[in-house]
Amino acid sequence: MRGIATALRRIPGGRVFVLAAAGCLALLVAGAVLAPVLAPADPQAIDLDGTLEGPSRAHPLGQDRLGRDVLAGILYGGRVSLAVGFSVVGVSLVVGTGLGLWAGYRGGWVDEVLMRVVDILLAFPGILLAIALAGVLGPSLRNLIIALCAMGWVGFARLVRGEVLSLREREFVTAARVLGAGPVRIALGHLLPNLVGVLAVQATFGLAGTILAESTLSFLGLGPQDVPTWGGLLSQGVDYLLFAPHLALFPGLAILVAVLGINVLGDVLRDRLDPRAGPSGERP
Amino acid sequence: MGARVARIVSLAVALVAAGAMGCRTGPEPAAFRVGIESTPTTLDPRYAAGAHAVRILPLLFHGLLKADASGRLVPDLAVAWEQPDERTHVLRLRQGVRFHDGSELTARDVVATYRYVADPAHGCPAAGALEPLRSVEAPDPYTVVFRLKRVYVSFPSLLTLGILPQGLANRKDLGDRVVGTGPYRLAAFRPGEEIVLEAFPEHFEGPPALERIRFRIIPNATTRLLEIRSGGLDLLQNAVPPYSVRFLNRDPDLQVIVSPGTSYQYIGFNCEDPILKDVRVRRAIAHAVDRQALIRFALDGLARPATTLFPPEHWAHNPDVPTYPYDPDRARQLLDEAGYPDPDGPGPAVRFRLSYKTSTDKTANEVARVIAEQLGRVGIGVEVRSFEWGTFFSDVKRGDFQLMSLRWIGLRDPDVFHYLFHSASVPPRGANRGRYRNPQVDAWIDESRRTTDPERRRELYFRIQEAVARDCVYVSLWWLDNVVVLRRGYTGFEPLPGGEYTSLARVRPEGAP
Amino acid sequence: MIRRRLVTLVPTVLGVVTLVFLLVHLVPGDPVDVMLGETANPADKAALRAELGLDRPLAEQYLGYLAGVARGDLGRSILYRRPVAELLAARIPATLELSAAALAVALILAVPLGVAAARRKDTAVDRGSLVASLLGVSIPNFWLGPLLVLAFSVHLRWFPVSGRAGWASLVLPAVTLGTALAAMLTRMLRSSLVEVLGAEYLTAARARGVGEGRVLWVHALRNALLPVITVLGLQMGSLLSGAVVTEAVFSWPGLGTLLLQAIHGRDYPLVQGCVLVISLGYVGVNLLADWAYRWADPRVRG
Repeated sequence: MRGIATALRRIPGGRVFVLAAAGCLALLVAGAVLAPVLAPADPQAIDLDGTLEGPSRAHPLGQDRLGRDVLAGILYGGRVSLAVGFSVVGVSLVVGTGLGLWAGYRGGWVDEVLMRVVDILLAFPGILLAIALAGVLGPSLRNLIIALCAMGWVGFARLVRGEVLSLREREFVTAARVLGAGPVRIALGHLLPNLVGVLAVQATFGLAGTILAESTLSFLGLGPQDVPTWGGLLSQGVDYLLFAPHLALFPGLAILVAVLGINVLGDVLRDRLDPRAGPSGERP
Repeated sequence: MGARVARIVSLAVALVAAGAMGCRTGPEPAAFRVGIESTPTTLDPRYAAGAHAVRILPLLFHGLLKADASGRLVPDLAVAWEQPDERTHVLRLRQGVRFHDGSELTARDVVATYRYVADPAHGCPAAGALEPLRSVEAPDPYTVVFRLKRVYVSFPSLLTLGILPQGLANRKDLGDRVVGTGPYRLAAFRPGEEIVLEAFPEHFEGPPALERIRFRIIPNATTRLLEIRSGGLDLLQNAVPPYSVRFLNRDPDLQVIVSPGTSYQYIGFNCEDPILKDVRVRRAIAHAVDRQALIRFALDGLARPATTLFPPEHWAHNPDVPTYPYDPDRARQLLDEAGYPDPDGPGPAVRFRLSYKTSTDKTANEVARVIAEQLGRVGIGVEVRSFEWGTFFSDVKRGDFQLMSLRWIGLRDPDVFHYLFHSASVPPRGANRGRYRNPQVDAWIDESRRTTDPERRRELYFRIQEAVARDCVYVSLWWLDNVVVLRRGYTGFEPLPGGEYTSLARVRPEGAP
Repeated sequence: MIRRRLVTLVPTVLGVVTLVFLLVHLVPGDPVDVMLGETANPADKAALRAELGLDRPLAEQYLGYLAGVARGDLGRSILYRRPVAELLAARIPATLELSAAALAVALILAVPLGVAAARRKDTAVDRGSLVASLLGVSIPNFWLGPLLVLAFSVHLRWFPVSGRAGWASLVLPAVTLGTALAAMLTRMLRSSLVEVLGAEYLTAARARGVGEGRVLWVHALRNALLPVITVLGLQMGSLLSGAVVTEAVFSWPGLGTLLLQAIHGRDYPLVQGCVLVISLGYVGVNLLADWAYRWADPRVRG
């Protein structure tokens, strides 16, 4: 997937697509941030007479089973997705980078142990572990974040460890060591700055993946129950598909735009920042 | 090169399409199609017990008597019904009634059918109820005499049993070779798929207008909705989810007929539970439930709040039973009196916790969640646990529950009070799942089974209902409305309390005589 | 080679089993209270506690769990009151069917598209496949599923809405699940083929006079497939976890819907059983993919 957007930009017409994706994403983010201003109604306001009604003047994207406004649900749901996305990526970044730096620089048993743990976590397919964790901890915003962090740090740790392994033999590192810098200083002062590029790219793709995972868990009923979520609305859409297709159409579209847009952004970033990308922009 | 790829792709597409086409239903012969949720296990009137079987049987079979819309028994195959003494019933049969195989109905067929069912060795569900039957005789070809061992006021309700010809009535496994006197004969029985009925021209009440009826078995609610919207079905009775009714109403090809129904939904208590055995707690819970809000939310308004088991149309309905209107303050007061104060007033701490068991049905769960929330407002913490139907039902029968909600469908004869509330009817012997024991109510129930005076019986049934309501054995929730979705262009369908499809025999295209 | 792979396999499998074992202990509060409800019969609670060994020290519980898994005893389900292993066995075929069908769909879509895109590099076909791939990996399959149902079940009436009953009911779920994989494979195959088609030795083969058709299919495809197989192995994970969601959308009676029911019913023994089986299945599939890769790549074999 990674190289697709890059390749796209080299094709006439592809740039338009990329710009459009970025634009839609920007709209979505703006919508989430400005939700209280833009929402036509309180997302929690119940209106039983309007149950499952389609788009109307008062409710441009229709109403859900309890009559709550879908547009408001999408705007506020965006807040949930973005909040979860940023927190999970933030925590995963810090934890994963810390562990990766330590294991990569130290080597030895620390590295062995970390790689074993990573292997074990990666032995679980996709978000299965997150589903199991969220299921066991109980559906809530906090538990959702915890469950996603449990899987999220692995990617960062592996990436950073790999990078550090190759970086630590470089001259500027050896020089710093000779000059008496301690490992922490080297890690933070010398290694970390060289990782910023790859970290930014990984974080961006991680954000897209997290938002997708969050909406998946919400769809399965494992997310916060008290606030509207994209996945939660979509799951109602599946239940009432016959008479309320708007519940299936719009929330899903929001997820697509968000994930697609962020992936495209990540690709653009990678072009700019990642020195390892091949000539065609495609990664091995 | 590109051609090869194109060929492979088109082959794949063709295969998929062919597979899909093969599974599409072919052009329908002119049959009237009814959607039902599950397959009846058998259409043999001697063995049929499930809800769907019971509803289809009246199209295939007549009995000596039948129940009308208000639940009263009226003659069907019988033209006269006498009781020379308390323990004898004499019925005179109509003459010239033909079976589907052409033979004429005589008293010997009736005798054979009843003798088979009453024999406990045959394992018929009605055998237990027929235990008081001493003998059944046919003194002449059109007279049947039933003699009972003792006075048994509910006996007439057993006279609705479908009659088989004596040649078949003695055989054990009829499978799909059932023969009756009803307006339709069984043309095909494909379990899991469909049941096909064909009009019987020599039916004694005249041939039905619809030539063929196809009962299509469709377990998935969304699929049923799809089918009726797209023309694959003509009738759905009580087989659509409540939220869909408002949308079906807007469909120009369909008519939605909503009428008051008799399915009774209730919350059941385990009266032996340490907390729930105090009647004040049960009454408090009854006051804490806002039924109007529930009906509006979960059922889209398609029910009437209930006060007792039998709805107002029924002759045994007691209009003056104690009721428990929505009154959270009264609920809180009762709970305080019962010795369960609220530890922190309006705060989240609860007086005590109760478990509420339900099945995995979506509407049942919605209802459960709202009730849990309503009870939470008066300080009762409710945990809703939903289980697979089998597990849920066996838990209920074993008494392994505190709160649960279920529904009684097709309650017709008030003699059912014995089955529901008598202390001898704790499962497995009956359906007194709440383990309610009230000697006074037991006495009234016993007396009602012995009394032949209809006025006295009615009075006893009134007293039983009043006691059950006062003791709050159930929280009466609502009587579900009958929701019939019928394709426009047809008329004549009348829903019956038990959901029987009997009136299909009178359904005809509009404009036809 | 194989021995080395197996050596890393053992700690991985052990790790998976350990994590699954720990799941029940992550439950906030008393797991027995959560599973049966606080208001349940104390005798029932005590019985469950004893059955799950929750009153014994952690190490003993762990060994007991390991022993149980080794002999196929995964405990009893709270919701169904039957052995977990029995419930799992009944559902595995449905999930396998769905995964296999999704894989087939992915290959049926990806191979022709990938080849066509490589052959007609930088033309409209290539661009089209690019956009399709992009959409394919970004679209959540719990949105794609309902969209397909709306189009093909509700409007066109070609396929059933949900459930598992005959070939027709497999089509939409398989397409839903297989699309993301198809998108990825198309892209991989295309770039892989493009690289290979430009490689030296292929030029040499052409120079020897080997026909264009054979050049493409015999030499190029085989080499192009190698990285595809690797990716396939890596992506099986998302296929399996995607199956959980797809099963939920289509009410497909497989392991995924069983897992979700178990989660919502707080039936932790069943949750553990499902996660264990799905994960071990994934480990097994990865192993197979690894072997397939080694078998297909003559360089590694040599």
